[in-house]
Amino acid sequence: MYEDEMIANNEDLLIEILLWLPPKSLMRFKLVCKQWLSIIASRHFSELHTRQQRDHLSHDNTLRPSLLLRLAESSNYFHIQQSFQGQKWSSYHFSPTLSRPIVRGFSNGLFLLQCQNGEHPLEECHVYNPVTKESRVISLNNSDQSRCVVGLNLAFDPLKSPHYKIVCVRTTRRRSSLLWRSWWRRCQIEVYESDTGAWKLHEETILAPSNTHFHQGIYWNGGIHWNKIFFDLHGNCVRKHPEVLIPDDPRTVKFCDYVESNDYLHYVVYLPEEKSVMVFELLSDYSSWTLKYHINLDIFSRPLSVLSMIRRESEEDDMLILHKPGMIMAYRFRDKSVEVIVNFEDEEFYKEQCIQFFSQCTIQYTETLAPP
Amino acid sequence: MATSSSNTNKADHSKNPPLTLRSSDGKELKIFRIVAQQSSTIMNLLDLEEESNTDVIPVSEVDGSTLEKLIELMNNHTEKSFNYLGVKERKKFYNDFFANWKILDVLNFGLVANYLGVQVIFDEACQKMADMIKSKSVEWVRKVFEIKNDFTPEEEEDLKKENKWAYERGDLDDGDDAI
Repeated sequence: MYEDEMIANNEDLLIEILLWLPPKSLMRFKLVCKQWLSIIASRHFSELHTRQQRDHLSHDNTLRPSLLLRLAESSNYFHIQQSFQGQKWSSYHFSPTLSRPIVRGFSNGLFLLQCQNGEHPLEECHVYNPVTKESRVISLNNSDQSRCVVGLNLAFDPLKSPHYKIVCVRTTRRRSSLLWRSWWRRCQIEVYESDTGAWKLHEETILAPSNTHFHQGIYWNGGIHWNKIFFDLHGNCVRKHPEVLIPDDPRTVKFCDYVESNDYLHYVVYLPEEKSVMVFELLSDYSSWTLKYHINLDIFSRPLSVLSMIRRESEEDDMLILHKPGMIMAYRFRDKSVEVIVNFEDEEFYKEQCIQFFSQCTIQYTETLAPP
Repeated sequence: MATSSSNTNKADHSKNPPLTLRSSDGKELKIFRIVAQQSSTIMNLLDLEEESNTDVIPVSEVDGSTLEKLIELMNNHTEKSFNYLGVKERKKFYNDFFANWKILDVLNFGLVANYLGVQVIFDEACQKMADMIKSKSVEWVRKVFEIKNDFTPEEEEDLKKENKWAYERGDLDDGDDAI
């Protein structure tokens, strides 16, 4: 009843089917035969798949984003990803060509790494795909020795372009003096564009508090977002976020972090003494932050840290990822249920009474086939 | 199915009698013009038929049973309520439609939808097939689609080394439910 080799003879049909597969399956199916390998490995297919995937994800509510976590005080990374049997936890190993990499930036499934033990750790960075493990080295523009890098960030939006941008923040090296402590520092921004391969220095400088962390800026809505400020890549200007309305009492202990999920930018505030978590969402016109969730964690003893906020297509699937001693858990907002995702009490690295994972070292991303 | 909808359809019946399609195995199936418009191929065949003045359009590449199922789906698509379905409901609808189908039947169905130019149904068939194979092993895929492994053992080893983590057996489900 069926023609022989229906699939082989119908390359167009085969491509249409392959375009719907998640990256992990595609990596595996490279081995089916040479025809499948040539399709999957082609740059054209990867770009098409990457572009279409964002659309496809909204059709499949079973796909959860993956989480990459760095263990505190180490360069070891762990992975929580979706597998056929549920969530899977494992050590994450970067490509062996990269020595002791640390993730500096991330955007739509691509990472920006700096290799701590590499040949030229301060002179280059690597754009990396955690699924295909392909990487591309990018030289930093170190022509001006008086300026050092304080932040590296990645901007990648496959719906707009297969090319990405790297935003590098530099500051003038300052000789520190015992008598003068700088509360502020002046920073410069340089943008690298992968289609031209060139760095462009941005004229306007930013005056920012010295403790502003310029690595791991979140790419959202055409801008790179740091604490309270962001760099608008379209308008080429630095702008401020609207105020978040939270108690600004310096005596209240609070842990805050920005998290991007499903095209929303969130500000997650954890108040351990009040046992509550507030999740704010920034409106895309930047007019204000709206309070999306405000939850009370009375139901169980307080978590050590709030790692991430996962936003899905429908609210009933939204969840908070929490760290408790020896465990990582998912709290679903809608029904307040808690699921233990990982139990690492038996692992070698487990330390009692210690916060072992922080939100600043947790990266939420969606697997992609995008070539770096 | 299509007849249970609004008044406009009733008006259509008198002005536009249903078309008759004849499958490769001689089965004759009725389809309303408004439904048939989803298929660019049927519209083209209709133009040819109008010239030769017969009532029946032969669709010689497609067997009766597949054609009947395709017409059923096309009827569903023209119902107003269908277009208001949310993403989850649409997914459920197609999951129910393709429930218990064998993968080669879905493949055949996809090829037919492609031949008849019904893009939406073709996309759904491709999605379904991707769903059915995504957690299967390489061996399973080769077996089901009768694909010959043209790699040498060395080439296979090299490829496997590059993508070590994608081959963890614990991850795969080679159940025969889809065959």
